[in-house]
Amino acid sequence: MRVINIEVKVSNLKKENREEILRVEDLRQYFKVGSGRNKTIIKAVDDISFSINKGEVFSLVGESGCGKTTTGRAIIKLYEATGGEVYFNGVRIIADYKKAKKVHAELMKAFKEAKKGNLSESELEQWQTKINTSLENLRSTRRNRHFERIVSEEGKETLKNIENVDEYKLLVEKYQGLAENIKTIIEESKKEVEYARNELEKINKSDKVLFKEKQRQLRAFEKKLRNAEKELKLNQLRFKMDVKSLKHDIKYKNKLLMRKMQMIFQDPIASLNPRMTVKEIVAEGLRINGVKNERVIEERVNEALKMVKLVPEHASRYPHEFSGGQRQRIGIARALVVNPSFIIADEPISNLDVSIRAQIINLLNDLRQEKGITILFIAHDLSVVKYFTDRLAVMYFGKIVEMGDKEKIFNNPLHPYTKSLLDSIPQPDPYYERKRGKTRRYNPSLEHDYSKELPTLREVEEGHFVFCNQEEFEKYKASLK
Amino acid sequence: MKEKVLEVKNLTISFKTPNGLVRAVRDVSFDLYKGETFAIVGESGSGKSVTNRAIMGILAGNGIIEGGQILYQNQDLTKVSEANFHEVRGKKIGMIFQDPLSSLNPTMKIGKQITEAMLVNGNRMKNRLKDLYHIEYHNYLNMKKAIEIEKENVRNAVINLRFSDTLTRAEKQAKIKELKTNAAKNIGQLKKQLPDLKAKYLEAKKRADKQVKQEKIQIKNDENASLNSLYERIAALKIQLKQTSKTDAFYKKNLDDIRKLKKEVKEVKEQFRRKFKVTRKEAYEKAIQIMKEVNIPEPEKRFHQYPFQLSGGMRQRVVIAIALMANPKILICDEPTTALDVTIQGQILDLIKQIKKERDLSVIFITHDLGVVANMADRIAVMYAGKIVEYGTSEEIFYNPKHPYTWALLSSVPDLETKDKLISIPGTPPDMLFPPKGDAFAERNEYALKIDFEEHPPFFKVSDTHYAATWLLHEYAPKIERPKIITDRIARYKHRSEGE
Repeated sequence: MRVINIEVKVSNLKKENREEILRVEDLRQYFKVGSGRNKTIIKAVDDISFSINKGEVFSLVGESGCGKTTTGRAIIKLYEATGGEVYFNGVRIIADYKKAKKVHAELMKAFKEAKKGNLSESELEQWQTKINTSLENLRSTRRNRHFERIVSEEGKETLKNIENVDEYKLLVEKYQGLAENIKTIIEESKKEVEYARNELEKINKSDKVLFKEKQRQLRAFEKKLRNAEKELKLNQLRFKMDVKSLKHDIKYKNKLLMRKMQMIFQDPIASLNPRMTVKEIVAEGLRINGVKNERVIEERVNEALKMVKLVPEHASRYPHEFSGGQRQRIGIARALVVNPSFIIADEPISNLDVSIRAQIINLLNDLRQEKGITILFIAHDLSVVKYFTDRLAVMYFGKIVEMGDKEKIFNNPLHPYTKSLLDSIPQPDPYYERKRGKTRRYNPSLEHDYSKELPTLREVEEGHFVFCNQEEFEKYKASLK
Repeated sequence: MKEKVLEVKNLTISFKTPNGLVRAVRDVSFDLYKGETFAIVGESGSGKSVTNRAIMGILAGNGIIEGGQILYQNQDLTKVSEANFHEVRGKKIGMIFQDPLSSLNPTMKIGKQITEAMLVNGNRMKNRLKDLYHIEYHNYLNMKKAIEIEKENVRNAVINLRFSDTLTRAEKQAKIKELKTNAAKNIGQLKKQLPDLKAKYLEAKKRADKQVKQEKIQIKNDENASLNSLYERIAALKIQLKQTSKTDAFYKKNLDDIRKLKKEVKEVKEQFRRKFKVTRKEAYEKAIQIMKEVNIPEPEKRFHQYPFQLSGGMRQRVVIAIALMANPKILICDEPTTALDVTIQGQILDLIKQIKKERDLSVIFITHDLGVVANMADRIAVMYAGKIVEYGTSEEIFYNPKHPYTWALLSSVPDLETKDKLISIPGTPPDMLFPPKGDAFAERNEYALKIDFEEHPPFFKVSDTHYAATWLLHEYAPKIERPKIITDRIARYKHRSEGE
């Protein structure tokens, strides 16, 4: 049952002082299973909403089959979402066409009703504008649904005078600085070359040893000069590339956005193509995004590999030559190479060995702190989640049952499922473990009585949401005091 | 002193590969006491699974046991032939594997998989026959094996002599000759005993055959006797039935009586059939009982389902049920919860604990998750690169770890209160084709001493039950503090346990 007004819910989720990067509204992902009489619909993700702020780590926690991975995959459009809307950087990337259609139909109905009475002209105009905006919304949702490139009108305007765009200015500054550096090098080396030539002419050719040495010197200087000139050309090329991609980014809205969102997969063996070298694997994202210059590609790949603490020499090897942790780092490099601002990490450590897990967690932590990357972390290991995350949502059978800040959930778990999850974390402390006794099991039919009123996600305290009905809500609230 | 159930002594296992021998297990020794849980911890490739596969006798084809013993009930399991190993495997030592999906057959119903072993080994008369001449048969086989071992030893000795550098050619030849004559004498003596043993074995077999035949006849006679009396009663009732009319009150009662008797006949037949072999019904009853024991809800329904219809936790329960069907005394759990979720992991661990308590099992628990071990184990051994580097009771390992590798393992996992940066172990485990000289962990160890690269440390005693193989415990070694993250954690735990 979907009751709550979306606007209210989302405004609750949003922290005002921080910038929001991803907002998920009523996301639904259903799968059709079986055929004929056995045909059923599995609600893998059913009506979940949350938002993620810039720079934070948000975790989805739950047992396998609760829909946490499906959520991640639906957000990055590996599945076509059944319903719900997802906003990324303020732009709608997944639109609910059915919902928009419904809203429009209701509006038209209301308009017909209103038309029966006499409408004044100003009222009619109001109706007209309302209907127009609704129609526009309908069209845009349809376009959005079919992955069409959205050409933004504002972008077109700004493209006309791109010199005023801040990012463009930054680019120009950066490359001018580089170019000046190179130019000074060129001038210096030109002088050196001239000097060396003069020296060479002065020397008597009979002194062969000295002559050869001077000749060698001259050649070295010349080489330096040539390299610097090449570098200058390349610099121009890079500048052009970056401007091109910037223009592209300004012109088209969603293509850029999807590039800013990347995914790290669970299984480091299955997610890397065994027939591609590391360089090909990492560069694939760049190539798809239209980078064609081999030098630029190589540079970016090496940069990404260095970021995950691999060496550029590794680029020519195949995935099977690496250990599990290194493979997972290749997967991370593949995500990082297109400079994403948001990463979906789908259980990146659950398939790794203990000693390697720490490497990957530390790496993700560094990336987040250095590059300010926002991470949606999907996991079932709660001790890692506690160590790593800022906020988390606990999922159970396609629903979010509890959501909020890390401290609040770990110190005051309210929903019985969260309690049983926290209860079952094994700890490296024998005394404590022996005292603890049996792990608590969660049985929804015993814990809740939803015959009178169906549960919804409610805010029990600031930034702490629990899936409950009114009765439970009051109980939880009382327990907090 | 507790009773030892299993003793592993200096076990060394290698795998033949095209590149040479991979030394997977090097000189591992441990004891398993009755009713305890012994945990082996280490990262993948440390040889913990290989050790236990050797105990189960299911090493891969290219695996060789190069030395050492696995003593179970005074029997060395490394010397038991494949033909006889099935008397130990499953019946005495059961095993639970890591991935429940791949250890179950996807095309077979669960019930069939649980009862399969029981039905296949179900011919009771055959088993009884084997039991009767078991001793003589094994004496004969052991003698045969002893002769072969003797021959092998001589062959090896000769080869060693041939390639030795210290002797001259003439000396070599003389020694070889001496060896061969001695060996021939020994082997001849052993061979003389063979026909005698064989005769004894054949005689015992004949005797056993006769006895079993008699027993069979006895059972048949008993069955016939009890059945005949029943048949007679049925016949009498039938005659009565014919005489009474259908409307009579007696008619119905008689009919019921006959039905009851017929049921009884079926039961008697079933009972006597069970004396010959394990019947399907018997196996079904036992399977349902065990499935209830491992907390599988609705066992009657699950019995007819396929593995893919169950969740991961249920599948693991089925695997445990299969292991328990033969009433083993030792249970080896090879990472039983790695493929499972946290909540289900807790349930499975509780289940293993409960079974252990109820059946007085001894459990060998293999894992890489130290949190799980704290919950389960009485004693813990930490393995690295095919060697045990530290062992002790779980309190000693968790509250007073001594080996740098144990420190690294403990500090690479965050617990609920960790806030510092995790310490990751640099590098990768060594290539066991060329095991490093000295301490295998030295390369990845920031506390490594110079001697670590040259000589392997012996076990230093920390307490009566706690030993660690690290030079840091030597009296001349510099005093080194544990990493801060661990000392903090231990202090926190102590505080917590005192607070309660």
